[in-house]
Amino acid sequence: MDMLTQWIGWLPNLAPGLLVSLQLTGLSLLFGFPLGLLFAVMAAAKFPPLQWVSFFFVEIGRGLPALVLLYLMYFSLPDAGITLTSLTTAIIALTWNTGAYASEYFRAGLAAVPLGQKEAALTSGLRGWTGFRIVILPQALRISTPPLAGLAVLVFQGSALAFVIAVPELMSKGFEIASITFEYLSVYLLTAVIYGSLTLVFLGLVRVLELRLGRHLQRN
Amino acid sequence: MGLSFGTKAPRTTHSGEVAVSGLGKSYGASRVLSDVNLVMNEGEVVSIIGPSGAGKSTFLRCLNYLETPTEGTIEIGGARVVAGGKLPDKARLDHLRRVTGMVFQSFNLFPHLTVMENITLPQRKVLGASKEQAQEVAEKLLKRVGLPDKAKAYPARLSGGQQQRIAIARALALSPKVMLFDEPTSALDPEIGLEVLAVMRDLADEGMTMLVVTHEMHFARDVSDRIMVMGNGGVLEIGPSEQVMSEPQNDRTRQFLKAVLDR
Repeated sequence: MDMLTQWIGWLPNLAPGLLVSLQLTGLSLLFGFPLGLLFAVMAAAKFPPLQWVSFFFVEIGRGLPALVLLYLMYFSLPDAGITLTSLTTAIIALTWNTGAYASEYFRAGLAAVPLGQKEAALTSGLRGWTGFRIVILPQALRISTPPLAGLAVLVFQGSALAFVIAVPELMSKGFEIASITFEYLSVYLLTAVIYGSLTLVFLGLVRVLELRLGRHLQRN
Repeated sequence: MGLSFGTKAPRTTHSGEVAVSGLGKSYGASRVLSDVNLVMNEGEVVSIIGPSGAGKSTFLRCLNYLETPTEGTIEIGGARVVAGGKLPDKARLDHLRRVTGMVFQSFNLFPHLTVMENITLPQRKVLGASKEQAQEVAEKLLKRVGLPDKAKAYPARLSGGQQQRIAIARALALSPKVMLFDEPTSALDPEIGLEVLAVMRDLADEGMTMLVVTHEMHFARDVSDRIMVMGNGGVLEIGPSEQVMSEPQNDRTRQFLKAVLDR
């Protein structure tokens, strides 16, 4: 049987897995990016305990491989009397991981906004949250967008790790098919094509977004 | 005179008047500004000149607390702040920054906002102006600085001189009582600098109280009422512009003026 017909036959079985992968990725980014921004702002806070909390969560989130974090949460939470579905556990672990890395990208973006912008905001009466929201944050976000997009791709690909704690995502569906048909190479080639093509489409969209965000800086 | 407490100076500030006394700033043991005194009447223009490292910009930036002075008193347009000890509360800082408008050497327009938004957003957030009110003010100001057709442009599309004129309009939009200029033409080539100086000259003619740190000796002599010469963190001399330029009293001033005028 030629590979393409094989693939078309498998797609209906893989589709629910892909949806779970996208759900896991989407929710991890949805919670992880704001968490990262929060960590970045806390790291720059004048109140030291806020810095310590940020440091603690960021360094653990970056220090541990996502796989280790997944296992730790999956096996420790039930012992602590917290029973969550494996998908929820995976979302929490990947959110932590995402937030930790994203905080560094946000921090870099915030640090890259020239000091003169903050001074101009202050002398224009835009202080505190208002100045941050209107003047500093939009400029920082533009700077942080390319590395954050890269992180989003890594999280999407990293979502495959949730396979190990029995989240029914794309790889686990692939494994199911492979263990019945023994067509391991063909199945994993198909998952590779799916991951790769979605990533490329996403990065293309990000490129368009970057151009839009940088439009005001073009001279002509 | 009203009530005065202890040894603090009585409040005698009128609109647009500046009274700075004993202003100083130290970073640990290093003293960058000491005992600067300056009283300005409403509508007066004072230029601050002097060599690099004299403390000109530091002095100007202390007036709106971009730098924190460590001693002295600042009174501007009814706002009064005593330096040293605890930082003044937010309300006092807000007041001080409301009555002062600042123009920077590097313009510092908000690059992600259009010219119109640069001028209207502070009005809407600080003064609570409606969008229409703010736009009306902005359009008048854009006309005043000679750029009525640039409302929709982003700053990156404008020349340095145009950006600085917009920055002046942005500062004026909040109706400050005193305008502070920190080397407004130093980042511009001499020819482009002229269009900014022309706007500043108009502003002076209209009676704005202005304090200008500058290396433009013609502007200092022709437009300002008085010149304050700073050196080594302090005031070397201050007097009517013509007098300071033609018969400086201080040796260091003479040396500085000779260096800049002989170029």
